[in-house]
Amino acid sequence: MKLDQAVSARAGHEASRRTLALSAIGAIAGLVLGGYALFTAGGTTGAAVPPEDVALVNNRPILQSDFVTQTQIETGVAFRDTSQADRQHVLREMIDEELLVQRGLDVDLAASDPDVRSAMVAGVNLQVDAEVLATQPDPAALRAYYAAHAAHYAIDGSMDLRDLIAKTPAADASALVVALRASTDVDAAAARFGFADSARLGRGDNYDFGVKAKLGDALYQTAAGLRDGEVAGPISVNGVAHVLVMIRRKPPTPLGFDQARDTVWQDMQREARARVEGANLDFLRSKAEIRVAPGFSP
Amino acid sequence: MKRGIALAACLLLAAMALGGAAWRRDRMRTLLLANYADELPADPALHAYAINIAQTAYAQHCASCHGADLQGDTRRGVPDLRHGTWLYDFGRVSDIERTVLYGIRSGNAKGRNTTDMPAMGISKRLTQDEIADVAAYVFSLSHKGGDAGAVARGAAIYQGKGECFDCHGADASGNIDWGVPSLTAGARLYGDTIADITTSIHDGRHGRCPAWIGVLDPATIRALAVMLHDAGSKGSQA
Repeated sequence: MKLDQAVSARAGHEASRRTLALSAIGAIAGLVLGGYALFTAGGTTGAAVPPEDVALVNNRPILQSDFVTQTQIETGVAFRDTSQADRQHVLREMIDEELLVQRGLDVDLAASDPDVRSAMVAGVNLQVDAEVLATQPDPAALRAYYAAHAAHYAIDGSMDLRDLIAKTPAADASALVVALRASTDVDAAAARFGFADSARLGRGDNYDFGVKAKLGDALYQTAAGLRDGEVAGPISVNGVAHVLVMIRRKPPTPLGFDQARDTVWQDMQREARARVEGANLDFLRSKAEIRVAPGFSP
Repeated sequence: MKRGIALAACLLLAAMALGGAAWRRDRMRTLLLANYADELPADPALHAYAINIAQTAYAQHCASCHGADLQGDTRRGVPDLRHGTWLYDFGRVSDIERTVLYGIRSGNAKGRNTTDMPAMGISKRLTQDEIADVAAYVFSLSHKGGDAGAVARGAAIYQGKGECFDCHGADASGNIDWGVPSLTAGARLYGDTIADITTSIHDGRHGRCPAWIGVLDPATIRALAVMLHDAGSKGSQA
């Protein structure tokens, strides 16, 4: 009986030691694997500065490559030849800049500062436009685009135009038009029927774009169709009767492909940029939650 | 019992070996990044480590443009990386690393985006005859012979109407700050024949390289820079 108890106690002791040994081995293996995972897992953060960085500012890295480049730019010598003081100075500057940028983000500067907003918009668009900006012009595509938009490529025309407006309640625009079409002197007819120059146009030749800007689209469109000596009117704009007299018209001069090529390429690039920027905005809209108040639409 | 302990010991040794290898790898990675990039070529252990990890990354990410043997492609203006001729800065590891990080005309604001070769023909800044003369002049900078009259006329256009000197320099030596190539070296990014040079002047050039920051990890980018510097150094010595 005693022998059985002794054997049993010994077996229990051995089992206990075995359990302890295996537990210890398991713990060590776990520690090794845990340590390995801790130091190699992506996204792991710790107190130490990652080796690719020279500093962490509120966990935002300053890349060693950026620091080296900035130091070389500021000192004008290779990094290895820069002094400790130079490096300290540059690093302090970069940390200060990062702090100020972070402060700007904290106070949401983009929400209140139009310059910051413009810079951000321009920066994002520049990224989107990179492909377009690096594209080389294709002669066949240039020519096809020119052919499709030929009317757009012209040297601006000019006109010596009289814009007569009513000066008195008794002014008679219809009678003035009849008189002018009968080749009466413009100044004499205007005075006789209560009209005078609007003074919005200078006397003599004015470029088409200038006439359009000063008289507005409606009057410009009418004027652009007049030939030398022709009279148009009366045309009512905002309740004011206008009579137009074309003294001398020089119509726009169409540009040949060779003359227009630069502008064609600029226009093609502008369209291509608008396309990719629009596509980018479509993508952003599709991912965004945008709620618009009743009565408004974007 | 003994078998159990032996098995456990084996497991422990395997775990330690695994941990040791991981520790060494992590240490090498740390040293690769913590050391100043331009000093890495002088450290045999780190240099070998960098080349080892760069070769895989190059095959995966760079070879599709630059070629399996770094030979480039003049049809697309992809540089031969064995040449030891660098457009940007001095071709130091840190310079190459910056190009790999931020790219060329990549859309990244830190990229190499300063200049383009203008399309002198398409924009009609030069006539076909003038372009032919400038091409003859540029060709003459690295080749003997040619039409002396065309070369002389081309030189005058280069220094005058074409304003080529403004970027390429009056002595045609280029400008590494802007990535403007020297025209005195024979090998050219887009080919070295009169026809290649004529096309470059007529159509302009705007080569691109993507920015790899955020795509590849910093150690891989630095390793690639070491590898490319290595290849270029061997090429320039050959």
